[in-house]
Amino acid sequence: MKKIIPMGLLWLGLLLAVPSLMAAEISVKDGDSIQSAVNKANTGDVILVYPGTYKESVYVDKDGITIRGVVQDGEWPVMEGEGVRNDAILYSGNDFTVEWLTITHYKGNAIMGQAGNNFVIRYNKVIDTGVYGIFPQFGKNGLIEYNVLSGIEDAAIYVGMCDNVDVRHNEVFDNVAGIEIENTRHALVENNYAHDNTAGLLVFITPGLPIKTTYDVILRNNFVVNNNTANFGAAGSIVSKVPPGIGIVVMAADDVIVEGNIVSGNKTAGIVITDLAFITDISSDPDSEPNPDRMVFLDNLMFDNGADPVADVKALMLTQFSRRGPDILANLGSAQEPDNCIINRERYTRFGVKKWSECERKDTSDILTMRIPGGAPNEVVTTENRTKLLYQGICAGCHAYNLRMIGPPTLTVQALYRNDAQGIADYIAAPHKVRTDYPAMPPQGHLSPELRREVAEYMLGVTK
Amino acid sequence: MKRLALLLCVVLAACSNDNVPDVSSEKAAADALQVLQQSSSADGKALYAACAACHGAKGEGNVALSAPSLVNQQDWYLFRQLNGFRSGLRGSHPQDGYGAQMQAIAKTLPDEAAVNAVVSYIASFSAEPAAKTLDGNIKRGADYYSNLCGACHGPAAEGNDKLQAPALAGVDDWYLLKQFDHFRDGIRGADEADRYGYQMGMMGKTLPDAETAKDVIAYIQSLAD
Ligand code: HEC
Ligand code: HEC
Ligand code: HEC
Repeated sequence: MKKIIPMGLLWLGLLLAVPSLMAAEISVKDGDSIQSAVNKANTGDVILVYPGTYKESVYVDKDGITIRGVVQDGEWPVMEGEGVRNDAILYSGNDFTVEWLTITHYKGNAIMGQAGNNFVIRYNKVIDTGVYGIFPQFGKNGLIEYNVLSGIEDAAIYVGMCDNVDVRHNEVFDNVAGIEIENTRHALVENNYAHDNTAGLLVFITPGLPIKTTYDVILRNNFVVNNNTANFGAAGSIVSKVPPGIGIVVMAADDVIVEGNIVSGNKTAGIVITDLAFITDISSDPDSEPNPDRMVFLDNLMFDNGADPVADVKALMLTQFSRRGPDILANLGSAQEPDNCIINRERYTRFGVKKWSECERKDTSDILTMRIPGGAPNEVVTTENRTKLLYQGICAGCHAYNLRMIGPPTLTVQALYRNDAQGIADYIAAPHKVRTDYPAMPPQGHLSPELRREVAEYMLGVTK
Repeated sequence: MKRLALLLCVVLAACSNDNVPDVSSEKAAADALQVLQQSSSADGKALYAACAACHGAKGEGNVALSAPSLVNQQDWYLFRQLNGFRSGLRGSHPQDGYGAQMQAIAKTLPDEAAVNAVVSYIASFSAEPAAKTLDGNIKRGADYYSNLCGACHGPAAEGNDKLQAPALAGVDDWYLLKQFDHFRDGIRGADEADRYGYQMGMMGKTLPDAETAKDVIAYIQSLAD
């Protein structure tokens, strides 16, 4: 029988919360634990976290929870990972809000979502937290605004496999990737300040993930400045292949509109539009179309880009007798085709846009948000689709089918654990270190043994 | 006629012939079997005398006899391969002529103690990366390697004993390519009982074409320098 399960119970770890009629406020003071407040909370409750240092990982697997820091006289509540904890906040419930926290020294993620809809992540300071800063994965309808993030070795803000997300007014610096919109549809990235990263804004497809497309993305009114930091991503990981000095990368994504940005001082190029070959040759996912299509490039302010491009770009530019990188670089191949368009092209130094057409659209003032009015309906979780949601919501954030992301490709896991789902289920409950050049895999002990077994079986059956 | 066959072999790039030991290698095998049949000791040095004709006096290998260098391998891997030959897990496929030859030799090692002794003796040689014989697109090879191979063989192809995946850097490039092809084609590692061989057999099917395999092996070779 197909049974419907509340979304928050995706993990099936904690007890079922009985929704109360009155939303309550639950205070957490220095020395208390945020997790025990979450355990007590019901849908609609607000957890107020007072200034203090909180050394814990918090799991939120219920709907409608708000965690709100209370900042008093400039004193913030601080979540401190001490370089040993993996995630600060991991949520799977819908209608989750987290705000006004300082999060630092976690190894994995500061705030990670696993398949929750209608999330709001704002007013947080995230400093030096390992792999990803803010990472909603597989959620619909979200808002990420007024966060400041730095020192992250992959993406500071990583919107992965989501739909209908606004990313506004954030500052991201000293990261490898500033803001990443990956395998995501309908996103507005607006009024952000991305500086001193390896690359500032990235809109792309990673092949080998359950969601195969990225389209309908607006990059508007952002400052994208001096993104020249040497790439310090984990050697061998896909992000480690991003060349330094790029303001904006649009890779394989479709229907991207770029308007009103100030893009300057990026030493390789202001914006690169390219197919997947830019980062890897492995684009063998039959369902991911590798070319960027229908890019719309409206008015932007671009100057002083390309002062000292990486070797590949320099070689390309030499064919045009220049040693400098351009403001706009449409890489060889389909990125140069006339389905892409531009206005006032003469203002920019440019490569490969000769065939681009003139845009009919001149601005995007008619589009205020990509979020869904009234919010996204809750995902219906059943005993049948739960495992798939679990895999997509958790595992696929690090394991792509045939690419190295954070974890080893699913293909290699399938070779190692053929016919041994239990082996996977046991490993993920308490992972030990296997590879010198990969980070540690975060334990999934909050999943019940049955769920671990089911998700393991699912992983062994993934085919692309 | 022989030249024509050879030419055809080159053109077709895959003919079963390249896997059948020729006269000189058959002779070396016969000599080795004789030496081993007479030795009963667990003296690694004495046992290795039977291996030297093919694998070289210092374990450097001999391409003319299709015998790889052994000095760039970890001892646990050599040990496991010798036992794989002895149990018949490796070298039993009808198209695996050289594997069959090595299987016959490994089976003549008198006992487990002898396997241990000869491996310890080989481990006393110093590692010496084999010379480069293949050309390929190293950048492309690196891309595929880091995505698909490094998860088991390690970032510098140094091997990972936790996964029983051997070091590849330093091992003869022609040999690695041939073994890769064998895994891909089910000549090695097709038996499900061969747990690690079967794993690699699955991976042998993940590169898009022969050209890419060559690129990857060329990259692995470059790691040894
Ligand atoms: C935050 C990233 C991340 C997430 C999420 C993640 N993994 Fe992993 N996983 C890793 C990393 C990194 C490794 C490699 C660890 C090592 O080699 O020490 C790994 C390794 C593995 C391995 C291989 C273990 C071995 O013996 O080599 C399996 C199996 C695995 N993960 C399964 C899963 C499953 C199932 C899920 C979802 C429930 C999952 N992982 C979620 C990062 C992740
Ligand atoms: C007649 C030549 C010959 C002799 C003598 C010989 N080998 Fe081999 N050996 C080979 C060949 C050829 C291969 C490669 C088999 C293949 O292509 O699969 C091989 C493979 C091996 C391998 C596997 C290496 C790898 O990287 O997979 C080991 C280990 C080995 N030999 C050890 C020995 C030892 C120890 C002796 C002596 C007791 C010995 N061999 C004697 C020809 C020989
Ligand atoms: C899932 C883990 C795994 C992955 C991924 C993997 N291998 Fe292997 N590989 C192995 C194991 C285990 C062996 C040893 C097999 C045996 O014991 O017979 C091996 C053996 C080999 C050998 C034979 C070495 C010798 O000395 O005989 C070659 C060549 C090789 N691998 C190449 C590759 C290449 C190229 C890739 C990437 C396309 C790759 N491997 C990916 C596990 C792996």
